[in-house]
Amino acid sequence: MNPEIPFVDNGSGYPTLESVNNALDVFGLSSVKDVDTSFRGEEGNVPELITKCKIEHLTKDWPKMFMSYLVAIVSEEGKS
Amino acid sequence: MAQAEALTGLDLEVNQAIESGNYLAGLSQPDNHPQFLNVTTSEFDQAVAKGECPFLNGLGNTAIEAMRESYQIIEQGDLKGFKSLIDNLAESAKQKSLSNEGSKAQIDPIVRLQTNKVSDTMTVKPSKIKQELIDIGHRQAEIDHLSHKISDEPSKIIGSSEQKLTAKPNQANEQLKKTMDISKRPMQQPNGPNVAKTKPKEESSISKPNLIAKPTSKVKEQLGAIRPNSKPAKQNFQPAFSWLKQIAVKPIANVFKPKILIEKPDLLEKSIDINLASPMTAEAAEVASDNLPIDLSFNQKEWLVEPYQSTDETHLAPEGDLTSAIKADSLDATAEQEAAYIVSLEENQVKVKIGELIETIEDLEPNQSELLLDINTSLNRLGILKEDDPVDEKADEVSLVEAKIKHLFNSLKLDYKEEDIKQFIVLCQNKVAQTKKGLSVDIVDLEKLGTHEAKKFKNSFIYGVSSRNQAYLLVGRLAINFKFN
Repeated sequence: MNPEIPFVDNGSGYPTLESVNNALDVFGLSSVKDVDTSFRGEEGNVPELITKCKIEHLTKDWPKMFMSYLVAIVSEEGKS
Repeated sequence: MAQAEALTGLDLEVNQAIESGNYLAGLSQPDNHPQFLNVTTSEFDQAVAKGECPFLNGLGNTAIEAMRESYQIIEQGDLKGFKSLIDNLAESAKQKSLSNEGSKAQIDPIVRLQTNKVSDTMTVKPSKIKQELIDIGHRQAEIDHLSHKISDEPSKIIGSSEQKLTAKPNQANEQLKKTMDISKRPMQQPNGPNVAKTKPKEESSISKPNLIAKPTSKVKEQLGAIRPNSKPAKQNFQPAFSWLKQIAVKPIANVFKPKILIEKPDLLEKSIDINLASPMTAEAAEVASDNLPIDLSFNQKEWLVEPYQSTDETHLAPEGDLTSAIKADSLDATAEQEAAYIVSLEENQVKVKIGELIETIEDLEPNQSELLLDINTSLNRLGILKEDDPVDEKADEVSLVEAKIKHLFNSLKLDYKEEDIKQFIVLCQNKVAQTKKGLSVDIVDLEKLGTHEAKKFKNSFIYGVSSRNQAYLLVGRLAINFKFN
């Protein structure tokens, strides 16, 4: 379980939206692409939220980090 | 939301976002979390506990728990679990998206995550919820209306009941009072005389005019879900991956629970009780008895006698006359009679006595034990000596063993008669010479015979000392030591 890292740097240290979508495809999570979500003042679909994470963090321990963030975003109950 | 806009916004407001606890800003903050996240599950737990990671600090318990479970699955290389994780993730994301779509109902995401399947909550349209709320409102208004009527015109309300109480207001009030009394009772009595004519429904309306109709469980759930700007109750939340916890925990619990102790917690205690109740001395005695080289049954009769304490002279052997000594101590019974008496003794009593004897033996000083062994050796050597061996050599050997026995008796502070010791030595010598065996074996054989000769042998030794009991102890000591021969 060590798929090729799909993320592409957008030049600012963040992954491109397309590459995040590719990452979701790797795990068969295509259905998540169009999922809008919001929490803690940020709104957008899941891939968009992932693009706000530094690519170096996502690739450092791929895919664990990616899945961790994904799980956190989807499961986060938020703090007041 | 355009990616560029998001990045720009975040880059400009990183510090502010971190201060406000925005985890997304935390994500974009360089090097503020990977060292805490790029770790093992246990390290992840530690990072959470320490609270040094802004990203983790910004997460709620649900997200932390879900992340931890995903860590665990990935770390263990559980492909099946990973597949389930992804499925659950997709499902949760889908639910979250649906909730946002309807959000206008602002359904709490936590409620959506409570189930791994698409929850019933999500299948209920907001319009339906709205309609139910309206119905509840109507019911409430109706109840309020009725309660006002009761307070204003009680007679009318009661008059509308099946009781047809159209009488005077005083009568109506009295009836109302009765009804109120009934309503105060802890339990309804349908067959009771005072309640028979009163419908429970009316009773309830009258006694609890402000009672609000309880919403159905479904409505309750929806009401709970519609909580704008409110946090869900955590105790109602189940992590998205709780299934993993169930799988992982149950078998472990079964393995480590000592089932037998759970079902019968007093079993161990009982076991201890049984052990404590066991006659340990008897067991020890049995073991000792098995190891004994001789049958000490000839002593059993005396071992049941209390240990000798006095200096009663009746127990002392008469001077120089073994036959008189036997008579004086009433030991002139035949071997058969004595054997019959011994057989009649309780076995456990005998064992206990042997046990006591062993304890006494253990009290022997090391030099005394060595002396006993030495005496035994000397006695055996005397028996082995041949008739044609030099007389002087025999005499020296007899004198030597005699001296040793005297020394032993003296060290044990036992009274003895030199003549009896000499006689005992001669008997031992003869028996060893006849059987060509060691003295220990010889004694066993002798006692098994149960003959007059055996009794004579025994008495000769016993009355070599002043106290019978002490003599028996010495016999026992000798016997015990003989086994080492």
